Amino acid sequence: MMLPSLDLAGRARRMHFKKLFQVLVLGGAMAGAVAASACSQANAADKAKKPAADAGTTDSAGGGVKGW
Amino acid sequence: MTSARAAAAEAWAFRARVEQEAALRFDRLAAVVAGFDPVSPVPAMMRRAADDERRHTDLCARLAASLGQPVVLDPEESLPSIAPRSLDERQAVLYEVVAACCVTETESMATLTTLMAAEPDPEVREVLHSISKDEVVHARMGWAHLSRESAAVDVSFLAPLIPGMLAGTIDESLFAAPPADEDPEGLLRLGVLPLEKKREVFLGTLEQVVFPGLEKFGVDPEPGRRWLAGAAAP
Repeated sequence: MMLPSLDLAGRARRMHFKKLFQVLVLGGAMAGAVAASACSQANAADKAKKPAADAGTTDSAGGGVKGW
Repeated sequence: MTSARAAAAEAWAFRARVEQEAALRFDRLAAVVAGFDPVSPVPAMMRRAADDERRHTDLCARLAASLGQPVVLDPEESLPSIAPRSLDERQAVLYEVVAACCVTETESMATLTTLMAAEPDPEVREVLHSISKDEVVHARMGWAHLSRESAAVDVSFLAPLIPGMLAGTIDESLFAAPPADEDPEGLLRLGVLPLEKKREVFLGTLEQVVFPGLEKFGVDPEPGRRWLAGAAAP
């Protein structure tokens, strides 16, 4: 079993990622919620729409965005 | 020139081009999002982000030049969409926002915060600090848009597209052995993650930030997790 003191680096890394989740993902959701209620009624109709039948099929090429 | 200095010069030159592309992308996406979600705060965030990215381009290019690699950027550069052709306009925007912000800007924030903690040289630290203040907002605006779209439309179509998105995010060398002459301490001082650390940050960010975030907003992370298990397998 790993002694607690030896797992400090691992714990720090987990805390780092947890903080990023809170700041970026949850913080982003809060930022997006601004004015969301104003358009929720209009969005209800859109919500019922389904994606195009071929949306996301493997024959369609998509790429990624390179970063740091 | 030392190996760390040459590698860092190349990395900062690459970042200058990445930042220039991000500015073009955010300008284009802001106009489209405003068309179907006029009360969204995201288009305004994207327009500010485009200005940020132009400033970052200059910062990265100047640092690359100071390390010995002048950067020549094409002012007429244009940037086509990276979304699959089968998606409609709104879906294509969501695909591109998730790729650019929820994946790449989120990964960039993890990289920046890791680099900041590694005691870089003062001039490098100043650039990292300046960029990281903005990149927080750039990552957030992706999650903001995904959050809004998940409340308005079906976003589950993204799940099978995540592997292709992730594959396009990385260089194949990410899962290879580091160069024999790699100087990890020298790289960190110059604002670049050594390969092993880069891999660790990439994997940790996907597993603990990006995949849980996608799941939270209704995008099944399992296809992405399966891709990652295969890509990272020795």
